[in-house]
Amino acid sequence: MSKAPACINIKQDSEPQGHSPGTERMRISFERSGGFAGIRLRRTIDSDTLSPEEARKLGEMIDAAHFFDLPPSVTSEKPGPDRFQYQLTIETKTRSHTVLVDEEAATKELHALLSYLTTLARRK
Amino acid sequence: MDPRINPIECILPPHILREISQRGNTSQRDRALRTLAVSERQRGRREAIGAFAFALATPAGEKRRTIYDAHNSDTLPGQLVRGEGDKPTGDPAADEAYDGLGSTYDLYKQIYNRNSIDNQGMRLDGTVHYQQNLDNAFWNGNQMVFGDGDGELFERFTKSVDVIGHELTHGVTQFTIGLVYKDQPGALNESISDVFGSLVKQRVLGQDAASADWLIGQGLFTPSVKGVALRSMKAPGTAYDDPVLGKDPQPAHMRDYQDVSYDNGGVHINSGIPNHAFYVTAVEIGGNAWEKAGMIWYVMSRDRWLQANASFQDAAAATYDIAAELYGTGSLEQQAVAKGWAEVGISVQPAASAAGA
Repeated sequence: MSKAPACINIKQDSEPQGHSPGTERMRISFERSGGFAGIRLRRTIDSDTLSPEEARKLGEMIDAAHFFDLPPSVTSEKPGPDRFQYQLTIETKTRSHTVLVDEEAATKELHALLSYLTTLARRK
Repeated sequence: MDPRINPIECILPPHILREISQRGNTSQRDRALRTLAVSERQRGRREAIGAFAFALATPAGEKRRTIYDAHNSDTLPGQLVRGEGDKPTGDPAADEAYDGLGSTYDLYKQIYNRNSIDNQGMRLDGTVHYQQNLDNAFWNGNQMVFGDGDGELFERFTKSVDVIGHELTHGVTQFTIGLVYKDQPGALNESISDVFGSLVKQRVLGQDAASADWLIGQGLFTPSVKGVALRSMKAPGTAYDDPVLGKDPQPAHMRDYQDVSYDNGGVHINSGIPNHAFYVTAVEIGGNAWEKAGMIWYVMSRDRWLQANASFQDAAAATYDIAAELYGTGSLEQQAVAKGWAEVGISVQPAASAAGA
């Protein structure tokens, strides 16, 4: 993005792509393993590389899942065969949290977040 | 079911549901089961299901398949689309699930005389079109669940019959040795599912051990993926090498055992080792792999030779002893078992005692 001349609203220039008030920049380390295929999918997602709409949706899903309040493990005593496991780290400027998840132990909201991240992680 | 009716408020007593389950048509039986399942969950009483499941036992070994369509939702089981004896629906996923459940039932019944997953004629339920773009299939403890694949890397998961055999075998293992789904016992659990999944496929295709391809999940990749299958029992580690998916990580020998934390300790990775042991055993014996090699492996589960935390070494010792019991000490079959495990770096020793025989 080119630097705007001083007479133009500076706010436009300093606001990075993907941000709106209330959405922090996030760095997400996403890993999915297990499943019938047993293939490990790993991706780092920088929210700055997402469209504003995608970043907003992601932020909402993270909030809905209460991600930063989750315990470090959201797992089942008896993992179901061929289910997915996830390791998810979300970092912002102010905090970082890592959670291990067994697919069948996830709430509906956490599952929605993981599905959305899977879609983003699969993108070329 | 009429949505105005709340099954909790007008619950039919279990003995009436049992009558319906035995005499009713497919959709009546289905509703009776689901009513009881809802009430069982609400009341938190698993013993209701236990008694009911016994009442659902099929007489003298008949399969009872029921296929559902989740219509891309999270809800299980979904809408009933095909019951036992019903004609094809025209939906490939539903019809492949129906056929695959049947082929798996037939292998277990006709070759091993096992009447369904629990050996008591348990219903074989499968749900297709579960969720959206799900690149997976699984056994959830009660039924099979199939995704549609993502269409880019994976086709629908009903496309390979060995997937269906693999998943139902998780059910068999659940009802027999209950191998813990983690680390070595978990990899053994995975391998047993690949073994019997492959045997279902080989029997459907009429292939003996020498002519089988020993590939797992052969039809699942889209044409854009550089790979022939998800796993190879004949040559673990060679099934795929793709820029997006990576390379097949399976070892073929204990020296390459992957002590990882993900995938429950690499259960889908290290299964390559006992898979290869079975392959070598079956080829060494010759003929149809499901007859002798398969029988040895099946007896290991049926007669509970293993504890829930069994290692590969335990499985080697058990199969070696079972081969002697079935075919004689020093027999060709027993020697084949020893060779199979030796090929993957495990030398057999006789079991100290049979666990729970």
